[in-house]
Amino acid sequence: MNSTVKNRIRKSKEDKIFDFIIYLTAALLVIITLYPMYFIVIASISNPTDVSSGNIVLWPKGINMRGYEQLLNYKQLWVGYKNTIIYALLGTGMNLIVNISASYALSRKDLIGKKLITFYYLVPMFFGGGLIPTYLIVKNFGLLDTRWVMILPFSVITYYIIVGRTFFSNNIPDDLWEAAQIDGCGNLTFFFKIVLPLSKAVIAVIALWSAVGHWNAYFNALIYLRSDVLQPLQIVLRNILISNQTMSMMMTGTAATEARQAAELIKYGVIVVSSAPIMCMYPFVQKYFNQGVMIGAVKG
Amino acid sequence: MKKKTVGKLLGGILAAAMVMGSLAGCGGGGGQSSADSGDAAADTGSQGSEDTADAGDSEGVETFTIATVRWTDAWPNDFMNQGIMKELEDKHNIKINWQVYYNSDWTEQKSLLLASGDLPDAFFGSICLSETDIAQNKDYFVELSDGIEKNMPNLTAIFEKEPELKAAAQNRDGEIYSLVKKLPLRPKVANSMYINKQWLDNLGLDMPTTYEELTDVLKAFKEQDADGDGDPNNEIPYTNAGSLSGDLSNLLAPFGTIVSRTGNFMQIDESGNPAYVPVTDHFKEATKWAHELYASGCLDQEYFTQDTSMATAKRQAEGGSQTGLVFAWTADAEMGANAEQFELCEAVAGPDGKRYVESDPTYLDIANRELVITTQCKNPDKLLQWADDFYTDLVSLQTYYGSIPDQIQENEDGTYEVLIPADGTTLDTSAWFFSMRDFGPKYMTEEFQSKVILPESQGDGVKLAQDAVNAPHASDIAFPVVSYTADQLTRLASLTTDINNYASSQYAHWVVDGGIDEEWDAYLDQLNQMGLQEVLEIHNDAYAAYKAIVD
Amino acid sequence: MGKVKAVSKRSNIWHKLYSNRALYLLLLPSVIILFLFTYMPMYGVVIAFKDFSPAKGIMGSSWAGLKYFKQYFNSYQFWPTIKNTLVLSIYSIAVTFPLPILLALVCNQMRAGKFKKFFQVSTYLPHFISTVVMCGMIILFLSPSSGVIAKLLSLVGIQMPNVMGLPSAFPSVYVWTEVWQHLGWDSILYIAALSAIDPSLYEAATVDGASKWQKMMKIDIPLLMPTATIMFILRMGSVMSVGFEKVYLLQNNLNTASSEIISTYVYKMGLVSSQYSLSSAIGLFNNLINLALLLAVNYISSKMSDTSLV
Repeated sequence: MNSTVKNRIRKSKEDKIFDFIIYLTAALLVIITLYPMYFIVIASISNPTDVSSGNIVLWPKGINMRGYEQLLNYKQLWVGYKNTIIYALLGTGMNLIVNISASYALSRKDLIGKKLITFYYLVPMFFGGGLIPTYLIVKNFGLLDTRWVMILPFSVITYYIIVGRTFFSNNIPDDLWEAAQIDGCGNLTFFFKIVLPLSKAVIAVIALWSAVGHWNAYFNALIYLRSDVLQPLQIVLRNILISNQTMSMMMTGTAATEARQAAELIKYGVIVVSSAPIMCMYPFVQKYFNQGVMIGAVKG
Repeated sequence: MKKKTVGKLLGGILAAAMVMGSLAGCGGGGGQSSADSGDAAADTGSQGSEDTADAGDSEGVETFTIATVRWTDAWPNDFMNQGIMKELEDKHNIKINWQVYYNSDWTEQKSLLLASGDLPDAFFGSICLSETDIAQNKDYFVELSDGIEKNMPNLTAIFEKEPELKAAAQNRDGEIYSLVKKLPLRPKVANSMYINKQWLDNLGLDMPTTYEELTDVLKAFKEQDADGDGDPNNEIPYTNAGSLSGDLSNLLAPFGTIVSRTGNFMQIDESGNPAYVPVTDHFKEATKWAHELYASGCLDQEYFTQDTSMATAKRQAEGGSQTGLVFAWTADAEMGANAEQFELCEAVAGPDGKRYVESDPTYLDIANRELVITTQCKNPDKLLQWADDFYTDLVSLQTYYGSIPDQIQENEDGTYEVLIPADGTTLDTSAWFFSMRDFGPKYMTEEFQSKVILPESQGDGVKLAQDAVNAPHASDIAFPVVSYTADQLTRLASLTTDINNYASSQYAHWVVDGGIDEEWDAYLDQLNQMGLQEVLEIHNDAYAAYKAIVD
Repeated sequence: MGKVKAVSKRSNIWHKLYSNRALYLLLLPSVIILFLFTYMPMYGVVIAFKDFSPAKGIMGSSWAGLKYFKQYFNSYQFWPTIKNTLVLSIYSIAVTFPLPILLALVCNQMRAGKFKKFFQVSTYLPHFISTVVMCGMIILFLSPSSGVIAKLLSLVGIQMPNVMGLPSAFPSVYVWTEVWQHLGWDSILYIAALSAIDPSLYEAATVDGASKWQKMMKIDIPLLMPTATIMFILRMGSVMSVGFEKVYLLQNNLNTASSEIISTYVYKMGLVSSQYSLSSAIGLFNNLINLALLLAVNYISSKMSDTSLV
């Protein structure tokens, strides 16, 4: 009895030291990782000359809102926001449908030809025709300059499929499937009614990656989209940034200085403007990463 | 239960497919862009819309689709359908549909355009296609020599008068695939040296006239309290985002190292032969001098590691510039609010007593590829006739600054005054709002140029006024822009990347660490192994062909 | 007797296929999309073997055989760029692979609450900074005259060297700033994996008198191994493909000895003239190596554990 109590006391001391180390590490990490974003926020409202000469460390100097003024008054910016939200929502939906269904199928032991099928998904990761043939095919399907080109053609992402497959293989026990089969459950019902509700964590992860991916997308828009009405946020921001930089090169005198300063301010402001909304998404996703997702699965 | 679920799934897929099909068809008509463009200034009319109405004659008016590239979408494009551009269209009874692209996206879009074969009738502006693009895709483009003879009296006369332009237009086989331009009202000098007069006065020094005097001045800037704030250590005599290509024509100029702006590090040496500067003796001396500057602190310690914004921040620092020397087109371009501290300094004499200042007219003022006609065009003759008008004085003036009478005032005495924009933008910028500016066929006679009055307070006017100081020293040693055969272009591409990168990093190393004497021979060997001799042969060959036409 | 067996075996396979037909249905959307948009364009791989000119098109361009591969192998920068690429890549994997796992473990040990949420958000924030801005910040912070780090060091009397000008420092600058920027984001997958661990395992361990440290070592880590292994195999499939943008932006004339990698070299060649065939050949070569590495690691993993990619 005595030794157990002693054990318990020793364990809790060990635990306390452990906790201390954990929280200390965490605090240090917070400082290091928070600083870059903090710097960007204050740099986006400070005098650019001060920023580039290293005078801005902890506080903004020479508050200059011109960057944000130009950004937020640019009407095309709001078109960009709207489009990106559309692409992110529809694109994430498409990604989930297309990739998670494949993940599940590939995780089933009963799948005949599994190896071959896995290779089928892996090969495009290494071999591709390149931009020109892909462009021609997208064009032939009539997807050029439409919203669908941002949602459909590139929605199969082998990386997501493999992550999903790994999750399903490791976290859905075989006895669960056997029990379900005994109850007369087929693959589809099992997938929709049992597996998916238990897999909120991995769905959340893939949805998060997908949403962020669509939010940051600009290359496909650059290649396949022409009309101003369809341009996503990143293209709009890129255009604003580049035009300021171009103007600062082409102009002379004070106008050049002003354009250069605006370009610097906008360079930082663009980060804030483009990431603020998506960062607000994380809290909603976070709740799926809490312990105890599996409770009641096997027992129920 | 099983059947139901499968059925539901199939139904869902079918429905999705139908929706997808209909939506795909929906968005295809890209021409709706102009309606929703928001900002009037950003309204591009049709950002590359497929408005290809080929010679579809409606009321006998021929239409042509021409693609062009602009630097930024912040500049308005309405001038393309107004003023002088409209006048020309009416005169020739044609209509031009402009497809406007932007430089930031152009590289990718160009390769797709060429690959998909959806070409416009012509490309306008040397910014669109490079020599290699034309050489590699000749099947797409129309050879123009006959067309020029038949339709372009103005250009033919210009070719007689200025063989340089003919050399620029022809490729090595004597074929002409594009039209040329020669910009008017250009200074002889490119970048000049500006020195911090305030610092000179504070220390009681005179403007340097030789490179040794310049060295002394820079050392004084470093060691003494040049900016008068009590601290002798916070001055940076010369800072820059340093590179070999920049330094050869600016900092190291007193040593006669001026090179072509094409980035091939070539010049014409004293015996009239092409020379690769980074292997010459005067380059060696110049690098030693640069090392002396670096070691004594006259060059910023971060010379090779900082980026442009950091260098600019030092120049434009509030309360006075942190630097004593700058090379620029004009002082206000680089120095911003601190421009008044700086004064133009006549080029300093080098070890051979000569003064050199950067000048590269064949690169800066002349170009081909200003109009390239594709095989898609149904009536190239008509387009050439239209283009010929660009080679007249009045049209060239208006496609450079803007139309009469809004941007240019025609005076009774026969002179033409370029007006300062009313809204406060600088002339240099607003010229882009109202004209194609640097791009497109252009030529203005000398006599007409003397009739053009530019505002003296800004832009081109200021530059021309300052030109007088250094014009006598404008060097003619920069390697001119010459034509290469398609094979030569490919070889150059493969070889020069390695060679120039190696030379650049060695230069940086020698400036920072010294040791050029000991390492010189190994360096030469290395360059030869990389294929330098072949590169020189190619340049020699191209230069000989150039001289044959020009002389 | 043999015939009867054969018949029943065949009908066994068909029977199995039929009873699992739903699985094939689930695979269908991705299979179709992949076929249309990545398999159909794959004929473009031949660009590497042709003298490609956009005007002639892929089919019309003449065959060049192995010409561009030979040109690449014989180019002066062939070995240096491969070496630099591998140094960056392997150094990068060695550091950026385990650290997110450690971070996930640390995070998992924290009690749920405001600090934990704040911690998670803070660590993934730098991921959203664009490469261009990130590199601008790196150059600024590392400046020996005006950078934050130099200022901190000068407080303790250390004079900071010009790190960006040292070829030997380049890989470290590249790798540790990668960690700085992507550590938090990369750990999300592992946090999710940890959250799926059955809590009853922890309960059982507590009853057995295990400390937090022991729980972490005996439960968390082993259960993360399958996920980590797969991620590692996948990672090995991109060893030759070090991204271009960041290296290009951090490069300068003084550090090219270690900063010139395959992708920056190809870019510079493309600047002078559009070298479609050459870049295609180089890309193909790199991808073949990547594939070989992936298969090799996959094989090793399948022999050493139950987890493998294929």
